[in-house]
Amino acid sequence: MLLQVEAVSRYFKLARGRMLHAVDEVSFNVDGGEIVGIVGESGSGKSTLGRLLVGLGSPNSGQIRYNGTVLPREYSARDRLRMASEIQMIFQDTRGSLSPRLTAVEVVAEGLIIRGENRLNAHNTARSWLAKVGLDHSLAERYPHELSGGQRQRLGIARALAVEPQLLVCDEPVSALDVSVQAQIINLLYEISQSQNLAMVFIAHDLSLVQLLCDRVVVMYMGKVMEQGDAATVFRQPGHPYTQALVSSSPQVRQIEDSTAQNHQPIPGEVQAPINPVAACRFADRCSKAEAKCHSQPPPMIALSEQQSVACHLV
Amino acid sequence: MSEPLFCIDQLQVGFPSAQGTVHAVRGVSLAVAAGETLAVVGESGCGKSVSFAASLGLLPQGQPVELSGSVRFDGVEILGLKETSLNQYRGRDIAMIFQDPMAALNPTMRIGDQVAETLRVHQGCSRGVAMAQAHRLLDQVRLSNVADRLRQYPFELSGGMLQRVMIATALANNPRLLIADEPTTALDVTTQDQILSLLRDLRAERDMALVLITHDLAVVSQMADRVAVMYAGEVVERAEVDDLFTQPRHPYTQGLLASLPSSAGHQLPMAALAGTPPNLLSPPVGCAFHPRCAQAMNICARREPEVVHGLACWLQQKNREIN
Repeated sequence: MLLQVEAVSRYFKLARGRMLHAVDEVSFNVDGGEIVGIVGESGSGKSTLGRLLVGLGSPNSGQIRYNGTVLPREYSARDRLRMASEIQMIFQDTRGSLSPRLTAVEVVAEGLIIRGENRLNAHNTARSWLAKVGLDHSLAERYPHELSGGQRQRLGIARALAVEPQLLVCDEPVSALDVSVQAQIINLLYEISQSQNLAMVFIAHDLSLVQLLCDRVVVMYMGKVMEQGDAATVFRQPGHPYTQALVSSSPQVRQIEDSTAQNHQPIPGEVQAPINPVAACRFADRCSKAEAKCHSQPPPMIALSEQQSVACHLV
Repeated sequence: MSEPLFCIDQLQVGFPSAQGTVHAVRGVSLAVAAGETLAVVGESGCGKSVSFAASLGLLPQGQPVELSGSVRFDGVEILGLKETSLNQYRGRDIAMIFQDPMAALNPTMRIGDQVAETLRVHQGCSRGVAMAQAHRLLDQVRLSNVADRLRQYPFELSGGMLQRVMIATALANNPRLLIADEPTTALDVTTQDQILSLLRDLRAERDMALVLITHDLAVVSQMADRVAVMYAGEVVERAEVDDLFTQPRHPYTQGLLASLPSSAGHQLPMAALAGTPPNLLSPPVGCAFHPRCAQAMNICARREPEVVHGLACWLQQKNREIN
């Protein structure tokens, strides 16, 4: 197992003694070469979780194992250097996550130089990565602001992959892009994952994208995992009422014979912030099937099959 | 046959820039009838928002803009009218909602006062009457705890609630045309679902014309009666919604549909369009899509296709000649 996330929690202290449980006892695994999707609405903790995986912030409890070794809670400079060659990340905001003072080739070469390569080699390797992600060599000397959003995301991917990581964490990598560009980037990520046997954690709110790209999926709501399992199974037969609601409210291109899209009822209410949550199912207030114990006991994670587990009292 | 409620005819909008004129809208014609939902779909920079903002005189003030063509509401020409004349329509017969309700609402004004303001301005209601009316409107858009919300400020409400407030404000004067510019793009899917369902119900109840400006084809398929697909400042295809999704005719529309993850048939790689939209400082000669079109012919790079049966593409015209 490449990555094992074991009961990881991340809390943020707020004013007046309140505590935001952004990520609450989340567990999942990622195998080598596997693509795992993390889906959820805003505030579900999926981005915080992604940041924990690359050492941006440390868990309050629980642990993350990488290749069997527990990652340190606080990274030393040496830890960071070592882990940066193993786990890399790409971001939604391609402008904010690239230095405005470095040209495209310098952005990619920087990590290689830090790792100890000489400048000439680093630049040569960087140029070959720019070509691999489909950036024309005429763009190598441009600054990030001179590139389009799609080109900047390609640059972010080249930067991340140049140090040859085993795992790439992608935080909403295409949600700021137009659909035609989005498809190009998804194809690129897919081709790279195939050719480099790269494992990915793919954080997204777009279910159809996750269904298309990912082998397995983790569904989060208010900091908790609601359901996880094989992507095709979870989306075809969602076990948790929240996953069911998410699937039915995600806009799909309506099929002509399909009139359900017109008739279905949206679920009521909105996502709340998990501040000082009570011990209960976090979805209970919005769940049409909720019973008394849903409001009084947190549900355990129950395996429906080898491919699917659900945190729900009612399964 | 009488003219539809709202018609845009051969609209051209250009913005001057240091490098020359940016031709943002290049001869757009659109129409929407009462009780109908028209979706205007396209990627960023295709001119979909600018077309409507320009039609209603909502482009940034004080900036020289090249503007020509015709925009008629209920048979009356409104393009280029003075602010005071336009205000006879805006907020009254024609209402608009935007993607970012936080930016569209006044942050220092209570929710109740904001909704009431539009009633007081346009209908001359007293404060008390307007407030009671605001309460009723916010109930209609299914805002929760309306009595409390009336006294709250925008920052105290979530994005979904604010979008409901925006819709209530837009509906206050019983508009005959509602223009919704990416109304759910900033919202979570479960909230988006609620807002779209609300818009669908309100349109049916009020026999309003609804223009939905969006980049999301899945939303289009669930909401629209008719669709206009825009590319590089032009309408490239107009069709009934079912026809567009079952038989997209323009290569750009076909490419857009193929780029949707949900229509990829669970197969990767997706059939993505190559390249990016053109720079509107100097749009390509001929069909603006030809540099990205896999089926482009010689004529596509030379002459702009005419619009025939709602389609601006030389391929169809060639096929018709062959048949």
